[in-house]
Amino acid sequence: MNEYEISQPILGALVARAGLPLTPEHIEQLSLGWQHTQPLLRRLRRNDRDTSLEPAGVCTQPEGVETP
Amino acid sequence: MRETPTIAEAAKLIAARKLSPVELLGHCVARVEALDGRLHSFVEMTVDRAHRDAKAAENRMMAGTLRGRLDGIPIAHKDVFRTDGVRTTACSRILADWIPDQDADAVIRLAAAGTSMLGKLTTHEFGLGGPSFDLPWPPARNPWNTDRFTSGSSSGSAAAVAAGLVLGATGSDTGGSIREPAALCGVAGLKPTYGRCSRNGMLPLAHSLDHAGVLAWTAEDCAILLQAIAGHDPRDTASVAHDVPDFSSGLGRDLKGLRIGIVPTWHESECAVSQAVECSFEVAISLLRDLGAEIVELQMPSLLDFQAACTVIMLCEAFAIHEENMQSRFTEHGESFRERIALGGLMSSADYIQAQRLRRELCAASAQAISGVDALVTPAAPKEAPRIDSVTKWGFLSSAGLAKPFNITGWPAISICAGFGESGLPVGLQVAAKPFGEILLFQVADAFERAADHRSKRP
Repeated sequence: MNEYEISQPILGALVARAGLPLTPEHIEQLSLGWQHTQPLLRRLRRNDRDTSLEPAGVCTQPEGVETP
Repeated sequence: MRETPTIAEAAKLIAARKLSPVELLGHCVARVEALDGRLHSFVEMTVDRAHRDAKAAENRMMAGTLRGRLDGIPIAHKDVFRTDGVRTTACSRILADWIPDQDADAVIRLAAAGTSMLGKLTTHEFGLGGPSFDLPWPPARNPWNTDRFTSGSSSGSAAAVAAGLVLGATGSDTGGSIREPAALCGVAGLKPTYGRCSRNGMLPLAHSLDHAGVLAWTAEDCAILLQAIAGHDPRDTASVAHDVPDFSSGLGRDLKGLRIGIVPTWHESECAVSQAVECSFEVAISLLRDLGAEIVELQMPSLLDFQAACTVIMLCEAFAIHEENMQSRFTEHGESFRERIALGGLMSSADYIQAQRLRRELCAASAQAISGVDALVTPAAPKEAPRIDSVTKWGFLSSAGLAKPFNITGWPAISICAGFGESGLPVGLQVAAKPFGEILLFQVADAFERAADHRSKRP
């Protein structure tokens, strides 16, 4: 098993969570695609991001209002 | 008429009453009949509608009341744009019989400008699958060599414009879907600034990355088309109430005083480009210098980070849009689309949020990097068009490409023809600018096209 492979039971659980009615053949195909996504997903993680980059911060002060 | 004119050329002739819109449409219809059996660029023809449009334009021409440079120009729409009374399928069995009762905003605006709507153009399924051979609509073929891929997803738009079947077309771009087919088919393809053009009525793939745009033979023609479709639309929540300037105001000028950035790390190490692309890019840089531009090397974030953020956001947002049909009608989708989208359903909420965090980081770093230049140029696609039967289902996950940075940042970007490889297949140059900097973008692209003279060769 290479570092990007996923076991069939775990993949089956993810497929079930997504509500997808897949056959074993579909799941087999998807496991190949899943391996290609892993390098991408690993690149997303950083531990040193500035909090100003947090997308959850959606509220901004109206123009002209001073920030406390 | 031997060759299809550009929009700018046709507009001049129509304004001078030397070309009838009906005659121009007849030329396009004849080319569709002669060529599209092999190209498969159209999924639906609306010839009667186009004739009515052309006749009305001709009446305005004779009355001296032309609406502008698009009056009487034959165009077609990518089949993700809703068209009132005309089937809109997104090349998916899910929508095989859907006839909308409203037009998309871009369709409305282009009709109001007087264009003749000749039909609907092939897309990869919902803008993502493809090339798919298991759908009722065969994939579009590259007019320069019909064994070759067009890229996508605006595949029919690029093929139809390249083959001179229409003078312009709409397209949509989520991760390069206008610019990559434009590059591989040797035409100009514009993704405007995010928020510049309404996506209302355009079937979505990923809301935070989707852009409505245009394809035509030249950058000048793209400027003319953008003039019609730009503008605020409150029905698209991402639409920005920004001034709509004269996008043609920078055309015909040299590049003296402009600073243009290049990012050597992108095409020299992070994205393997072919020899033809590398050579054409070097020639392009030399030409831009000759036109007066100062070329500056930039330190932009890694292309692989853009690829990671864009792909994860796209797949997660696309799965959210298609979730219900994926769960209840999975096998009705084409294999390529359904399996790619399914990956988005397997990703976690943390994956999506981390991708958005990375996006913020990339946007901030990119804005900093570009602050000292007026525009940025890159190769538009890494290679010439591959054989259509060699494109793999998962290839898009491992190929960084050069288009995605501008979907992530929302900056305007255009692909134009930068020459031809040894096999005669086109290669593209991408010009990007700061948000709402389309005038400058067109100035650079137009100056290059005029100096390079690649626009005299048609497939």
